[in-house]
Amino acid sequence: MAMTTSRRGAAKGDKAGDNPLRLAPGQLLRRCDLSKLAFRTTAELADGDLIAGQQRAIEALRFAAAIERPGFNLFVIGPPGTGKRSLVRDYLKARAKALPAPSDWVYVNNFADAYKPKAVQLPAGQATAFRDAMAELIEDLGTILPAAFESENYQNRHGAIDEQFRHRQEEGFEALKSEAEKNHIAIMRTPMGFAMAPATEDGDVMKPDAFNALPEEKRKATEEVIGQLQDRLGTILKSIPKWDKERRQAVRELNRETAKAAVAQPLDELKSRFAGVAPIQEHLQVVQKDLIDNAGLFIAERREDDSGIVAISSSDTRFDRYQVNVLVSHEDGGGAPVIEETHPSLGNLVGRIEHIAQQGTLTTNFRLIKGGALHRANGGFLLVDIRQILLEPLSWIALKRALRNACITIESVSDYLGAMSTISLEPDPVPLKVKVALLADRMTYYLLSEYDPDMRELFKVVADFDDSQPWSQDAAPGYAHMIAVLARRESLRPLTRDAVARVIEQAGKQVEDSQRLSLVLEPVADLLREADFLAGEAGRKAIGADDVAAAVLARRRRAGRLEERAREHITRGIALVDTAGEAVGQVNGLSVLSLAGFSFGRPSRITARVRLGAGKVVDIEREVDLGGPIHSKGVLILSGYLAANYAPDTPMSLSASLVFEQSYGGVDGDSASAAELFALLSALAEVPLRQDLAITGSINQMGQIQAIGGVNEKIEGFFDLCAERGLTASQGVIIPAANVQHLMLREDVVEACAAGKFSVYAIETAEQGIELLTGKTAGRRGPDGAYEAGSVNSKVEERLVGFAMARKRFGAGKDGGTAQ
Amino acid sequence: MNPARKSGKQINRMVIGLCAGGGGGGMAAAAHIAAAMGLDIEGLFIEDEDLFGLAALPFVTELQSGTLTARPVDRTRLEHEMRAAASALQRALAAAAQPARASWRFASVRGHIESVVATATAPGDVVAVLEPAGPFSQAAHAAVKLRRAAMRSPASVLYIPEAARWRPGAVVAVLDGGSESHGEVLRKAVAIAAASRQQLVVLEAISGSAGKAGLSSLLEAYALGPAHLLVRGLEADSPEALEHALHPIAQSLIILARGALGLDEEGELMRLAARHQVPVLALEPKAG
Repeated sequence: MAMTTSRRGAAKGDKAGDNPLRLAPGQLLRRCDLSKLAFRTTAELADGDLIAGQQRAIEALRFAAAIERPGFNLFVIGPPGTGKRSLVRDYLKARAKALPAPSDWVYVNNFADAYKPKAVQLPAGQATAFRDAMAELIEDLGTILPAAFESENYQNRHGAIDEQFRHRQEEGFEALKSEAEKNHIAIMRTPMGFAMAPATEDGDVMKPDAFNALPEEKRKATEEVIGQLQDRLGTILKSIPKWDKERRQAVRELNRETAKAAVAQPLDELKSRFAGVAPIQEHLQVVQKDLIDNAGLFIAERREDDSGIVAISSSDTRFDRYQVNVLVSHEDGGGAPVIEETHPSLGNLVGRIEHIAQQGTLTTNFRLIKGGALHRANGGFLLVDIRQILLEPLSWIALKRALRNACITIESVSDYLGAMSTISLEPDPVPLKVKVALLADRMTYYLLSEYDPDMRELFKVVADFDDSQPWSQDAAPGYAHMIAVLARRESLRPLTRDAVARVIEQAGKQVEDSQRLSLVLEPVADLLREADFLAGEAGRKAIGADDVAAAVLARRRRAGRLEERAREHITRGIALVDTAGEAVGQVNGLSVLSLAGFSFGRPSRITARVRLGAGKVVDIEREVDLGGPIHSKGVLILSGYLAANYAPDTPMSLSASLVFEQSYGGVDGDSASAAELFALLSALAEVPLRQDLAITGSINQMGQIQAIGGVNEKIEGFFDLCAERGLTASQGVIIPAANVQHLMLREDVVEACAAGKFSVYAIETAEQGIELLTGKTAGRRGPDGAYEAGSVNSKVEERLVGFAMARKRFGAGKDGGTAQ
Repeated sequence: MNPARKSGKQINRMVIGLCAGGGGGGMAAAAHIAAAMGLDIEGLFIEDEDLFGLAALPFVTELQSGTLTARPVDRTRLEHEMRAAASALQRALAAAAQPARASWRFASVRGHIESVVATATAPGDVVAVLEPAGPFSQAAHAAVKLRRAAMRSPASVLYIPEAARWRPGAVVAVLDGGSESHGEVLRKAVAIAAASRQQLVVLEAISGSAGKAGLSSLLEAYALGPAHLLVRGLEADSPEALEHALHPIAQSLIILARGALGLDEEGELMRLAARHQVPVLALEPKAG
C-alpha cells in the first residue's frame, strides 16, 4: 500500500543550493547578446530576403529551376510558416524575368472537323492582335461581301444566268405553244400540273358539248394532236430540272468568283500583316477557302442601319467559326510566367470546355474552350499546394498525365471517368514545357513518395525547408536581419536591439532548444505584429523589449484558460498532486497538453503498488486502452531494468501495478518511465519519495535517464503550481541531463531559481534520481555482490527476495505463473 | 389615318387575282404596296370553270409536274385539289399581310376568269396580277386570262413580276406627255414614297409639265423634304426613253397611268416589270 505522509515543509535531504545536480540560472535560459551589433533599431538594417538558414532548400530550388530535363520538377517541403511559398515565388519570378516570353496559344475552328478545334502556336504578343484582326476582317466582310453581291456587275451576270435558263425553257416551250395555238389547243394549268384542251379560234376553251358536236374526224385529229403535244410537253418538263441544276451550278460558280474577288484584298492585307507567322498563314488559307464557299452567311439576313453600315451583332453566331479564341497570351519581352494556382480543380488546372444552353440543349464550340493554369504557366513555372490538388478530384492524375505526356489535354471529369457524355469537343493537345513546384508538408511528401510510383519519375527534386537553424554566435546577426526584413514587409515599427534579442530568444523557445533558432517565421511575425500593436498603444515609435515581453505574456494569457483551469483543479484538491511532503509509491510526473497550437505542462500523480506475484508489472493505462504503445514500451523497459538490477538470481515474484492517477484521456510517450520506476522502487523499498519534486525523463534498461520533449513546458507547469501554492525553496523539477541544452525557461522561473526559491536538477542515472527523491543513498553493490546495507537498492532487493521466498513457500503456479 | 385615304381618293381595295398553280410569289410585295397605299387586300381565288369542263373529255389527261405522269382529269379530285390550292394561297396571303400590317380578306369563286374579275372589281380598285413562276405557267390559259381580265377591268392594275420582292429603292413616277392623270400618279407616288420612306423620282416626258403642279404642296403634306425628290426628264415620249431613264435608278416601284408612253397592252407592262424585277402600278385615269 502506498503511504502518503502529511508532513509538509522543508524536504529532507540536500539543501537545494548545495546539490551539484542543481542547474545554475544561466543554464535555464539562453540569453541573446547583440551588444556587438552596431544598430539601435532595425530601421538601420538593410533590406534583404528571408532565406537565412535555408541554404539546402535554395540550392535545390536553383537546381530545379535551371535544369531543363523532363521530370525535374520540384517538391517544396517543410513546416507551414517557414516562408517557403513566398521564397519560392520570389525566386522563380526573378528567374522568370530573365527567360524569354513563351509562345501565345489560340484555338481556332477546324474547318475540316468542327469537333476537333485546332491549337495554334503564335509568337508572344501576337494572339490578341490576331484575334482582333480576325474580328475586324469579319466586320469588314459584313459590308464588302453584300456590296459585292449587290453590285451591278454581279446582278447583271446573275440576271444573265437566269435569263439563259428562262430562255432555254421558253425556247422549248415556244414551239410547243405555237403548235398548240395553230391547232387551237389551250394549255391549262391545273393545281398539280398541266393539261391540254381543245380551244376555239378565239383561244377560249371549248366546252365539252361543243367539242362532242364536232365531226368525229375532227375530234380524233384534235385528240391525236393533244396527245402529241402532251408528250412533247412532258419531254420539255423533264429537261427543266437538268437546266435548273445547270443554272444553280452557274450561279454557284458566279458566287464563288464574286466572293473570291471580294475577300482577296482584306485577306491579303491580313496575310501581309502577319507575314512570317506560318501558323497564321496556314489558317488564313483555310479561312479564305471557307469564306468563298460560305459567302452566303454574310448575305443572309443582312441588317443595315440608316448610314448603310452593316452591323454584325455579337450574338450572331454565324461568324463564330472565323473567330479566334485566345487561350493564353504573353507580353513580348515580359519574361516567362510564374503562375500560382490556389484552386487547382481539374478545370482550373488543365482548362475546360464550357457549354451554353440553347433551346434546352447544351452546346459548345471552340470559342468556349478556357485555358487552365498549365496553359498560363506553359513555358514558365507553376506553383501549387499539393494538398489543394489532392483535395480536388482527378487534379493530381491530370497534372501527372500532363507532365508525363508533355502536353495539356483538356478533358472533363466524365472523360476521365469514362462516363457517358454528350457530344463535346476534342481540342488539339497543347505541348507543355513547364516547371512545377509543389508545396507540401513533409508527411504528405513522404507518403506520396512511398505510395505513388510516379513521384520519382516526375518530381525528382526536393527542396526541404528546415524548421530551425543552429544558434551559433554567427547566426544571431543574420536572424536579427531577418527580423528587420519581416518588420519592414509587414510595415511594422522598427525594433530596438533589445527587442530583437528578445524575439530571437523566443525563436529559440519556439523550438525548445537553446542551441537552435526557429525558421518557422509565421509565429515570429505574429509576435512582431502583436508587439507592434502594444508599442503603438503605448505611443512608442519603436518596438522595445518590454513590448515583446508583454506580447508574449498577453498571448499566454489569452490562450491560458485551460491551463489555469487545470491548475485550479489541483489547488482545489480535485486533482490530487502534492507539492510538499513525502509519500511511498507516489511521485509527481509531468505531461504536456497541446491544444490549438498552445502547449502547457501539467503535473500528474503516478503511483505504484506491489505484492507477491508472478513477475509482472501491470501498466493499468495499457490494460484499459488509455496507454499508447510508447508508454507501454517504457513500462516494459523499466521492468527489464528492475529484473536485471535486483535479485537477478531469484525468480521475479512481483506483481506490480502502475497508474497515472486521475488521467481519463490517453497517455503516450515514455517521458514518465523514470517517474514510474521511482514510484515502483519506492513501493518496493517502502521508502517515501519527495512530493515537492516532479520528475520527467525516460529510462533505458541500463538505468540511464534519457531526453524527453516539452521539457520547458513541464518545468513551467510544475513551477506555476508550486508558485500558486507558495514557493518553498525545496521545490523543483528533475530532468534528464540531456535536456539541459533545450532549456529556454520563462524569465520568472529563471528568477525564482536564481533566488533559490525553485530548482531544476539534471540527472543522468536512476541512482541520481533515487537519491534526489528519497534523500537516501541509492546504494551500490559491494565486493560481495550485495547492495550497500540500508540503501534504497538494498531494500528493494530484500523485498524482491522476500517475494521470491514467499512464492517458493506457496509453491509454483499458485499465483497464476511459474517462477523463473 | 393614312394620308392616301385622307386625300379622298376612291381607291380603297386591292384585289389580288389568284388561280390554281399560280403560287404565292410576289404576294409580299403586293401586301407592302397595299399597306403603303392604305388599301385593304382581297385575295380572290378563281376556280377556273374551264378546268372542270375537261373532266367531260375522256381523252384529256393531266400531266403532273412533279412526277411527269399523266392521269385522267377527275372532277371530284380536281375540286379537292382546288380547295387545297386555295387554302395554301390563303395562308400565303396571311403570312404576307401580317408583317406589312395590311388588313385582308380571302374569297374563293368558281367561274370563268374574265367574268369573275369583271364582276369583282370596281373603278376604285387596284387589281394585282402576280406573275406565276416559269414560262409554262405564265403562258397557261388561266394566267393569260387573268392578265387580260385585269387589263379590261375598270380598275388600276398592279403587275408584280415572277417572285419579285419588295426592296428598298426609289418610287418612280412616270409622267408622259399626253396623259391627263399626272396629278393622280404624283399623288399616289408621293403617298407611297412617304409611307415606305423611299425617295421619289419623277420622270417627266416634257420639262416643266403642268402635271407637276402642286408637287411641292404634296411633298409638304407628306412631310417629304427636297432631299427626297429627284426630277429627271425623259428624252422622248416612248418606252425606249423610259428604259433609258430607268437604267441608273434603283427602283422599288414604277407608277404610271394606264396607256402612258403607249404601253397599253398587259404584256408590255408585265415585260417592263419583269425586266426591272420591280412592281409596276398602272393607274386607271378615271380612278383619280
